[in-house]
Amino acid sequence: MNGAMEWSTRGEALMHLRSMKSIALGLALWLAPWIATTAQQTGILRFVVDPGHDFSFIVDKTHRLQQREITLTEGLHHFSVWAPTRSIVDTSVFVVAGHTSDLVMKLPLSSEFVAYRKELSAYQVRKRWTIAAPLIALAGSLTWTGIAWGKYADAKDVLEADRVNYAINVDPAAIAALKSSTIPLHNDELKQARTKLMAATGLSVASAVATYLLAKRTSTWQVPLFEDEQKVKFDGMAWVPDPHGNVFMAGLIINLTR
Amino acid sequence: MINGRAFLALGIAVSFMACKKDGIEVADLTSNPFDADYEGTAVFTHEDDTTTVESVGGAPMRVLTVEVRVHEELFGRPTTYQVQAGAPVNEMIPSNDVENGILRLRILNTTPGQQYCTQLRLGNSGAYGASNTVCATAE
Repeated sequence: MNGAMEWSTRGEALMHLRSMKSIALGLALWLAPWIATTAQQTGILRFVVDPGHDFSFIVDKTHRLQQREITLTEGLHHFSVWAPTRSIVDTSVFVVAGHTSDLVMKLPLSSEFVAYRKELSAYQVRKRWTIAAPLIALAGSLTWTGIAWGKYADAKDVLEADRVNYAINVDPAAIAALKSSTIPLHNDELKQARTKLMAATGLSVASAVATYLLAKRTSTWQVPLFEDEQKVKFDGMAWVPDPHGNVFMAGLIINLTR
Repeated sequence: MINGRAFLALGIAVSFMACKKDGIEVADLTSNPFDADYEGTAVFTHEDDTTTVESVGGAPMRVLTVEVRVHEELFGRPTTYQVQAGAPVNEMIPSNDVENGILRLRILNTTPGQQYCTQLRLGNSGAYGASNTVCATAE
């Protein structure tokens, strides 16, 4: 009897154990999708950055990437975003699992680039004027020379007319007037025209020489160069694979002001 | 480059020097016969002369007629003119009285063998230009 009861008790226990297994298995099967999804817990973050073509970012101060979106696990993530000529912007974003979020930002121009642009603009203006000023002077003096030459030629023509007039004139009184007043007056006008022509020619020659010398001098001027310190700083913020994927780069910023 | 600059400077200098000679020197203007300062070849030259005996006021008189050529080819252009004849002729002769470039001077009451000179002045519009003296000897 005892043996039969013992046998019956063990059978119930086994039955109970089997049902427990079934319940556990059913529960596991029922929770499987939920476990699977909650185990990934990722969301997508899209970057809407100005400038949009060549920005880079470092995720969680570790991975440097250059792409327009990233899939991350749910939670708060740190980003350092940079683009050439722009300043590095640090920000943190909470990525929501199963959601696609947009990170919209405009990277400000770096102070070095603003200073460089100002310096370049000043250089270009200075160079342009250094070249243009003597050219303008040359153009003006050549114009003056042309006008002076025209007036000189006119004065010569007037005197030539006087010479012809003298040769064919048959009025002694008119010839006397021609010799005593008209020709001396026209001689003076020719002299003035000649003086102006010489001055204009001299100025033109001086302007041409100045134009040549200044053009020669400006050709040796150094164009301001832009050194992107933000890039150096950004490169130093993370491990960066080279194009072959093996070489190691790092940057070091030493703050000398401290 | 130095040669080029030297040639440029030389060219400018030569141009300026050439310009300096472009004016008219009034003192050099002496080629027009109607100019009082005329210094060219003589405008009036002796062509021929004859001495005749004529009756002037009822009395016979030896008259020396001198033919003078007026060199009109020296004029700058064809024109009318006057010739002022000084002593002993003392006459103003218009170009209308000059035939084929020859004008005739009459000197009255001449003495045979004596030379008579007359200053001739080319004039126009009341003013005078070239002048020279023409002489002839009476027979």
